[in-house]
Amino acid sequence: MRTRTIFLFALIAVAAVASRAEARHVRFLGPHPIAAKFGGGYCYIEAPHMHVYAPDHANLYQQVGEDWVFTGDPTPFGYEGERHPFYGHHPVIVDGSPEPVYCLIEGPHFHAYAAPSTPDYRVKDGVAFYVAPIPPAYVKPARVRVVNAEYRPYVSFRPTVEVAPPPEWHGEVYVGAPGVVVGAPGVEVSAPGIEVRGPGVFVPPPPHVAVEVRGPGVFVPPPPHVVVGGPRVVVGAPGPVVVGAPGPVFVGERREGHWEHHDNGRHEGWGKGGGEHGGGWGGGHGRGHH
Amino acid sequence: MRAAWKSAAACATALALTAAIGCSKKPTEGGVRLQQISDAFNAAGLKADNFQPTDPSRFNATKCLAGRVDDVDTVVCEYGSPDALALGKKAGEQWVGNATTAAVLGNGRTLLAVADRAHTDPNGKTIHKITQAFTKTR
Repeated sequence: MRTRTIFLFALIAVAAVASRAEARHVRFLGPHPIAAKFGGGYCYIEAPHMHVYAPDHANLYQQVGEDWVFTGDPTPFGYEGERHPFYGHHPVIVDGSPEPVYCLIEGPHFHAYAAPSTPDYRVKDGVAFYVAPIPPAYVKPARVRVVNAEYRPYVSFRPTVEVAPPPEWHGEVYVGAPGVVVGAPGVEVSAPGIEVRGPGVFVPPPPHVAVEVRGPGVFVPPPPHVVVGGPRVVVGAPGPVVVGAPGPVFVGERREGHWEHHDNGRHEGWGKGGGEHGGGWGGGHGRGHH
Repeated sequence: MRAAWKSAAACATALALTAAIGCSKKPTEGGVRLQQISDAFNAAGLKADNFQPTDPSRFNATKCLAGRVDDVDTVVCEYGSPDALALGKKAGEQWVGNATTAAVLGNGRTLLAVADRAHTDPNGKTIHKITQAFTKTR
């Protein structure tokens, strides 16, 4: 009995050591938020790289092979640098991805990169609208819902955008917070006690609320959203909301950002401290293997 | 006076040629070599410390150097063939071990492996600078 107990303990110890040795890195492609238990903040590495942690907000990533690509707005995660406003879904600019990656955030949001100057984008008053079609495989409604639910706590970080979308844009007009005004022709919506006026307006049946319980945490899906016909309007959160005719265009930012100048000190050249390698690396210290 | 003008014109032509060659820098034949990576790091203002030759067989390479770049553990290797470089990447991933942040990249005939073992680069800005200098080398 005693021998058996010792053997069992030894087996557990070996298994623990083995699992530690096999701790695998998680692969990332492009910048992304740093996991909270590793200090939080933002990782600025653009090249493919690895960390010992998995993403905290997996829904704001698209997996490309083994790599995680962050598709969200970096603002809420401590990102410091240049920011460019986008509106609605669009491809994510990421080097080295073998497949397209899409940002599925509805409404106004920021990215660290500017929209490329291609016919696929219309930039109105500094806000980029992606006007080309996105393959349906990347815009599944369930995925869109999950992404926007994940982003809902960060609504205050969105840019304030008051702009009539270009006619060739086919996205959904987002009304995210109380008191926000978004231009849309001939439709007026107010909430709570939603009042809808306008030609050809379709009000869908009352939204339902579902609660999904997962152990050990509890996940509550986002509040119901109302979709009004005509130009599609999404009301993302309850509160007095007015959607009016296209009005004056205003683009603002709640927070000003700037590129953080990163200077790691004076250039002191190669080999300082390395003695013999002062002239560079090509010095031929290698052993031939080929 | 005329001789002075001729001399000035010759200098201008030489400068223009130098500028043209500099601007139309072509990719290195046979792929990027270690010396170019060294030059690129210098140009990016990265500070290399204590770089010493290290056993290249561990990385399936013909030549390797290891040290620290701006306090981040770094290995650079040179290869004779693309196949060897592919094997070297796997070895590089083993070399990074359990570092909080790491990157293993190839460019031409060279490999770069960086590992932030001491957590000196929490937001990856140094590693970003190193990898950017490496990948942009042509």
